[in-house]
Amino acid sequence: MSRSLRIFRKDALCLLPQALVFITLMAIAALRDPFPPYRVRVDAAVTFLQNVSPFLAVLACWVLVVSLIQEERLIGHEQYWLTRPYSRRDLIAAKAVFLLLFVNLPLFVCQFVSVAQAGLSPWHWLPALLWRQVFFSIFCVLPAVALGAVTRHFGQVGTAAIAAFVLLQAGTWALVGNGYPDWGGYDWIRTCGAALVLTVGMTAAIALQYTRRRTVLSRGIVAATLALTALAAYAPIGGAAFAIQALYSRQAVPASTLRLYYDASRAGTHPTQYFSSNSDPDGVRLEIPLRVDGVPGVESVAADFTSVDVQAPSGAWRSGWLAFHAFHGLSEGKAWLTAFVDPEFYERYKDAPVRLSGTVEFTLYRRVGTIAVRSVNVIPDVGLCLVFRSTMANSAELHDATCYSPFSKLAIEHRGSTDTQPLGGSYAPFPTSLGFMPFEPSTWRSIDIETAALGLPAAHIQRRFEAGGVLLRDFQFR
Amino acid sequence: MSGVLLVFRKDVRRLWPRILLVVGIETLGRWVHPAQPNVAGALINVMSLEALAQWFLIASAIHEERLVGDRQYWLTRPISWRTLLAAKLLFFVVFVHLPVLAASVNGLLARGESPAAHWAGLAMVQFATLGTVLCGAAVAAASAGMVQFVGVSLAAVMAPAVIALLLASRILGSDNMNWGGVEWLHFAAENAVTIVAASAILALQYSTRRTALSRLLLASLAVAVGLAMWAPGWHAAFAFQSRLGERAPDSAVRIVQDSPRGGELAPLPRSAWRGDPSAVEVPILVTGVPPGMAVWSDRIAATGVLADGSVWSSGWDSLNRLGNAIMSGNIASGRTTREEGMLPGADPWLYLNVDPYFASSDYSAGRELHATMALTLLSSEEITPLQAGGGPTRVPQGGLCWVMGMGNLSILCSWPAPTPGYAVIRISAMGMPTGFEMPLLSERLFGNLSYGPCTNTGGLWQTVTGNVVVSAGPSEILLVTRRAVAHFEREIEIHPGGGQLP
Repeated sequence: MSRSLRIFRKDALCLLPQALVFITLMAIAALRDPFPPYRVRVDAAVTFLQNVSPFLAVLACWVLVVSLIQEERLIGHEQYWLTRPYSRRDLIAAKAVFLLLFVNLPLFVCQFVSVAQAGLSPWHWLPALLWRQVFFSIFCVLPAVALGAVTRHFGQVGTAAIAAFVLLQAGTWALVGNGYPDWGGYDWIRTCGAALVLTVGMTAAIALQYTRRRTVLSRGIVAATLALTALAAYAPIGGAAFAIQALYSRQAVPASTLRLYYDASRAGTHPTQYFSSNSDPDGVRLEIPLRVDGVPGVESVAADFTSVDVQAPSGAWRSGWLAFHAFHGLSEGKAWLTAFVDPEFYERYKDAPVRLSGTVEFTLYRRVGTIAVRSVNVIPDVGLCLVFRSTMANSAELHDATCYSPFSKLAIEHRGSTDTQPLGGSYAPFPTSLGFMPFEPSTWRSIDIETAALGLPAAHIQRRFEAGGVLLRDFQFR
Repeated sequence: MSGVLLVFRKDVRRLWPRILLVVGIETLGRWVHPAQPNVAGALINVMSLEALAQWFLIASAIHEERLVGDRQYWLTRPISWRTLLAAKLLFFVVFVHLPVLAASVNGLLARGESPAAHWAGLAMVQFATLGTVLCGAAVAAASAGMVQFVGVSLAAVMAPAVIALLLASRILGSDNMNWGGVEWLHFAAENAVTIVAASAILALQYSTRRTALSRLLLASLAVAVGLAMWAPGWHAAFAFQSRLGERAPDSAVRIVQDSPRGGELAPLPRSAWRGDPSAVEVPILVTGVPPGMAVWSDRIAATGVLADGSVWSSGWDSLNRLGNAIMSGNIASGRTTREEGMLPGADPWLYLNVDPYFASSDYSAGRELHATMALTLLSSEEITPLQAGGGPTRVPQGGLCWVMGMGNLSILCSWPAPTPGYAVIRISAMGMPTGFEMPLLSERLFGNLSYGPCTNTGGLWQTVTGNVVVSAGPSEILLVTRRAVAHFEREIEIHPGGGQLP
């Protein structure tokens, strides 16, 4: 133990300048105002500083961690520590203590202070802050430790980091092009998958390097881990994600809740109101009339992902899982489901009887409060909500609102409308974001302050409908 | 000379993997991307790494013969500091400047543009690259290794720059950070300061190896650049820009207060003017604009006499504009914003951000506001229908535009500098204008409008993107561009009572 402490003390003395640079930049990044209020003039210098500080803090963190590991380099045969009575266990313990004291602890303190400074109780949000440390360590510290362990000097680290970045970008481009597969509130599942891959791979490489110093094999493991992590991070959503999410529902939902049927009586009619946005897919717009039984009275409902299948006499079309404003207009047991069908498929089969089926992933929200017309609202379990008069012209009654906390999972619902709008929050049981700033992002929404209510996700359910012998042209929206 | 080549050859042999990496990134960013800007995504991420990668290569080359310390091999060999410096500079020319030039020329050729027609832009790219190279070399020369290089970059360069930046923004005001269409001159001035100071530091460190002094000078350079980012001088730059432009028929343009419209309300509610309580809105009359052309308002400086007799001046405030209401943005949601500027066919207004005294009821008769307006004369509209479906459309001034999607359109356009002085997407439904326009180039919204031979950051290509949702039947997507023809100034006296006070 005394040897570990001696190594730690030596590292602390040697790396104090790097540690101070990192802590300064990290503090700037962590303590910044998460959502500065609208101003006539934004302070460009502060904005610039806040924008560059996270990037610089990551750079400083990597320099610190790599320097720490390479104080006792693992590659080569001429290092001083190989001929001294230092065990690898001493070395690992010393490095781990340094990382905890000079990386994790300062970050935790800054985030704790930042939460208190924003007007929230940091003790209430303590579990969330601790979870943030876990994901920060996995995504930021662990790769730097592994890279430091499998390289000879900082020049190699730079070359490896730049080359890895370029190759990963090229790989993900080849994989998904410009379209990043969005998982919405389910993204935490993919993040956890990537974190698991990264933890296993990097830990294996570090352990192998510290115990056997088998550099070539360790480098191979690091490269493979990075490639697998990228694959996991860019994976498209699938049924497994919904099954995992359902396991984390906070309340049980009876089977009678939200049953979907195709509403043949409204075939050939169209919704009077519809929503269109940049996230809509391309294709011929179909509006499928649905009947909905068992709409919950207490909770509000939002549809996340939808999938529509069309089985034609000699062909089939599948939308795959898509997240856009597809399920809409739920009122008095009636609703609409939007699908954008491939134009060629539509032209070929629009007059032929087809079999139609669809699946909708619903999230039920428990109402937790409303937002008052004042600039800052502190809402238990939600966090801070900011409200400003809308910047939109001719909008006296509209306000722009956002809410944020160390663990954001919020939606805004307009009473009288069932089109609940998630605010970009997660459905995770614990926060999985890893930024320096302790607040999870949520988007600004224009809301009618008189009717808006806040909701937290309570349950996730999947519902399906089928219809045979229907004509696609009956659904085409003009 | 042979000593220079020997050191150069040794560096190439030692650093070839890093050279390949950096040249690859430069090529991707400057050759491949202009030809295919619609496949952005990952490529843009890689391009964002270019300066960092160049600094890494530069530091690697400098550290091959470190200047900090006393045990380097070259100190005991017959290698003069001049030889060493020349070898390093040759390395930077061959592996940074030449690849950047070659990739930039090939990028232009890939787009069917003549490099000769863009010589000024190519020169500006080299000028910007020189700033990056010399600054990186100066920092590397004052550091002993790669870790110190990052440390010196952050502690001796970034920290003083940021402190200067914060102080300057408080003292000099945020307006000076972005000079709008003449921001390229601001960038050029900052870069010139960097080049001169970095050259001096490099020469000092190579000739005397006084590291502490060099680091001190680096910190001073950082402060100077931090202050230069807020340097006042917008008006001087605009005057310089107006001398570079054509002597166009701008002399006939007259602007006066439109007294008969004095009782009218401004076209949009005050909330659209960022809710500023100290704004006055004055109807104006513009005459003498050549047919088809338009006038764009860059900045306005206002002066007036306060109740106590003292003179108040706004300076060249970027919030002061001539303008008229233009619907823009998303057709489906009906979102509207005010786009600054002044186009034909509308009754323009002068928006002034004034001392609260002028916006108050105490503003007595007899006192006047005087405003000097910096304006840009824009050419007639050049309208290009854009093809939907993903294929590129050639647009004026060497641009290409892509329209992707069907109902929800992603529009991407890219121009070699100099770019148009005005570019919007106009949507027509059933042959009729819908009244919605989406700006692509805008000083205030995106900070991407440049009147110069390069972009505002010394680049050759300006890539812009926008999204429009079209849901009102068959639509035509038009790109409307105008060239910046001339830059000039006009003065106006504003009489009290003729404007819409808060």
